[in-house]
Amino acid sequence: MHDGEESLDDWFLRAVLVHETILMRYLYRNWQDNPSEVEDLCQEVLTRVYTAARQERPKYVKAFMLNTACNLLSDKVRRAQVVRIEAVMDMESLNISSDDVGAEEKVSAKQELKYLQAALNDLPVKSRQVIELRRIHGFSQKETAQRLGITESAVESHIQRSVRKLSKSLRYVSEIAANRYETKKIPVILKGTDI
Amino acid sequence: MTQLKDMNSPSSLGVLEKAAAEWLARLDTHGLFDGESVDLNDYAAQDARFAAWLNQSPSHRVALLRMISVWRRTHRLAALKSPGHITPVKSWGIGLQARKILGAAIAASLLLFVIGTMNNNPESHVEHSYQTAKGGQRIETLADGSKIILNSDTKLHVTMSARERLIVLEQGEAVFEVKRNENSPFKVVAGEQLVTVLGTKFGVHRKAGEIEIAVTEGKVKVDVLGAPAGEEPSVVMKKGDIAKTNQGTILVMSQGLETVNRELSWRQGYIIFDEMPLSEAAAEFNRYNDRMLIINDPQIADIHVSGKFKTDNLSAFVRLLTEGFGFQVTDENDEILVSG
Repeated sequence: MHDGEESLDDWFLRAVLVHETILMRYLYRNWQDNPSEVEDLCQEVLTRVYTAARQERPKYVKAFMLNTACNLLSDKVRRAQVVRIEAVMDMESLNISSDDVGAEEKVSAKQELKYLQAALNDLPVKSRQVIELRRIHGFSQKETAQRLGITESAVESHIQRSVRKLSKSLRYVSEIAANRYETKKIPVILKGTDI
Repeated sequence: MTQLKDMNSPSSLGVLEKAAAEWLARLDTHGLFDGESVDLNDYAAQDARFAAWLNQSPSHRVALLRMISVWRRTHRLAALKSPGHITPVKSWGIGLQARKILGAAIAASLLLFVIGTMNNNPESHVEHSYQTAKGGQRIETLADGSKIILNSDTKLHVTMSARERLIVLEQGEAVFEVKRNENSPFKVVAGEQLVTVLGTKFGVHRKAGEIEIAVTEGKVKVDVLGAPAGEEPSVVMKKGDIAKTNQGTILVMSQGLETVNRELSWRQGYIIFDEMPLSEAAAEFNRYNDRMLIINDPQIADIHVSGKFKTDNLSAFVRLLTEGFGFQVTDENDEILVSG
């Protein structure tokens, strides 16, 4: 698009991390024998994508990202020889011709929003108020501190803890979604809920 | 390869994420993420400590960008809020504690009784009874090479003779992998149903009011014994079929092998829910665990859930209910009460 103008970090945020849920799901699905390694693998794949993009930004980001993941898993299987071979044979996720945000992402984005709301509700009251003032109402950290009658460093510390928790919660969505048996369907895990 | 090495320790990612979250909060004090564009390098030029951390490894930058991505997504919550005031929201606040309490693995055990003996009579037969405790699972190989996999809380009797191989499923669920022998039919009696087979693989689940039979290989003949003479329903099932029998009737559905294998995924230690009502999902967990999951609230009993869980990992399921659905969970003695 505007690759010439857009910084690498902005590009990464916009074009790559929007597919993070897909990546997590792919990894959970194809690394079922060792789900505890998936978070490390995810970080590793994203780092490889970022490093590669310093040379040249891939045209089809989602395909490139999943291909990177597939290569990493193949490398690991070859080295470890402990994982079922069919684990890396599930190439279904790679059959992606277009790089648009597809129906699957749109649906999971809706779920993600619900889930994010639930995760936010699950934060301690003060942390939640900080996030709401800072992010939803758009107050600065300083204004947030004044409104809540706490110090600015307390606000910073609430933000720091909260963003980690929210990040974990969002990853948990991917894990649950990947655990669905029929992988081709769109995961609808929160059907019937109204969080 | 070398990159992975230091990633393999579970703590290193945690440490990295903590640092990334700290930097996010710090950078946010300067309103760095308020605009469309993020310029980390610009801030790094003003803060040597940040520059050192950021440039130590591309992995650091990526971890921070991932945190920023999450941070940005919280903005979308604005759509759910009315502007101008903070909605007081009750905190569910049970997550961690419940997880700890539920975390203890429930040991599975098996009881095995041998009640029969061989004698020299030509009509000689061998009888065995097999039983599993709650949460247990056991594979038994019979004298003819056939295999029986017993699921949790199951009781069955085996009678082997030259003329027939007879299994009585008293309670629970089992999968049978039958060695072919035309001279000695393999029969399974469960309630009022008789399943006759030659060589095949199939599962039988005896529930409160019904019997479920699922075939993964070969063919299986099912007779209903309790019906009036001359009207006994009898069907032949093939691979991928699931039959439900209830009060003298049989309903056979061709569901495909994938569904059959999902029904029998307990053999690998899993339960898989596909849009299953919460009440049924809870009942399924309760087959494997001593701690009973009780759905108190009729309003949530019909909510559909999906997912794949280890049969003994009740805590993962409870986590879905609390963190995913925001339900209230109370822990009482051996019961976990769930309400909306």
